[in-house]
Amino acid sequence: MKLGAAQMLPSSPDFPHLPPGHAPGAQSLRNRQGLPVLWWFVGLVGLAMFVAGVLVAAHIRRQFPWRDEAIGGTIFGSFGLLCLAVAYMQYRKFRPARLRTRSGGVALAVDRDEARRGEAVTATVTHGAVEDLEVGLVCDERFDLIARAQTKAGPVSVRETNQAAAHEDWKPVEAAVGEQVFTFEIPHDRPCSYEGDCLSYGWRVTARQVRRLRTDPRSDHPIWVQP
Amino acid sequence: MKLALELAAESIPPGGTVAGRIKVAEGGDSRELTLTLTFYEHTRDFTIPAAQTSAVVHQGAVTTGDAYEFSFALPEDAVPSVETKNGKLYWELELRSDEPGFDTHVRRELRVG
Repeated sequence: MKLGAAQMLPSSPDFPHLPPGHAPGAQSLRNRQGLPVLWWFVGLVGLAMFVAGVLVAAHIRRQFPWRDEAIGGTIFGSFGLLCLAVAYMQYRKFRPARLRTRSGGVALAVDRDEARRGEAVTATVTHGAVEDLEVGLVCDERFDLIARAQTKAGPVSVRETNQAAAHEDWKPVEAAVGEQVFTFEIPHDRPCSYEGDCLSYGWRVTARQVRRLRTDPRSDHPIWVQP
Repeated sequence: MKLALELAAESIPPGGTVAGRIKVAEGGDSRELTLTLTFYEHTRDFTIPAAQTSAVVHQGAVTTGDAYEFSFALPEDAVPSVETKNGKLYWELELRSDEPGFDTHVRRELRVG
């Protein structure tokens, strides 16, 4: 383990937060974005439970008194709905909803993939009548923590990676159809891009549609910020 | 044994030189003094050395009042120190005196950037 430059490797679609030409760090490799099979499975089980619950509550087969079937079916269906909701939220954590980019949608273009702190980045947003649109410069910090739980077998510790914004600068996009240009300055005192083992920083220019009580669909353009 | 680390500058730019001296406030029987420069990643539950370099500054016993100069070159692409809400990237100099029994350690955080 010596001081020195990180090795440059080709990027991969499994690491959408990295611009081309930058290698993922140990933390990104551990959290590689594959297909979230678990949450698809939980969602399908939840859907099946919900449908079965509704059928029982509807008293179609009439095997038990209607009141018992209504209560049992409602409870079973509710747990199914809960599983569906949890699966959807977890899925969206892996794969944020994307902004529509086809006709009438949003196009985001950024003038560069790399910049230094103190420099400016220019983003061009073209859209066709999309409301509540914002464009922003965001630095995400991914940090590892130990999650502890008590089980029958004893205490269990799991290493998990959390994410928070270390820097955010959002600007509203005017509702008028057309092309709009935004300039963002990368502050000197913010982190530069870094791929580490327990801590990483990644920068992106993002266009998002702000929606109440729902996840905001977004379109990202990762950039690499040098010291 | 009592040792102190004095730095020529509190903040060093990437590609710069970490220079300073070790002052012996109280001498003793030491086999060698080793200085290690480490770059750490830190979160609430983890502190991981991500890069490290070290050098032996002095071999043999040290005497009260002695001083030893040192200098390390930082790489051009050294990651600047930064602290955010949930994490910290920082550089640290650690001086270790290898002694019979417990070793003496002195640590000093460096600001890079």
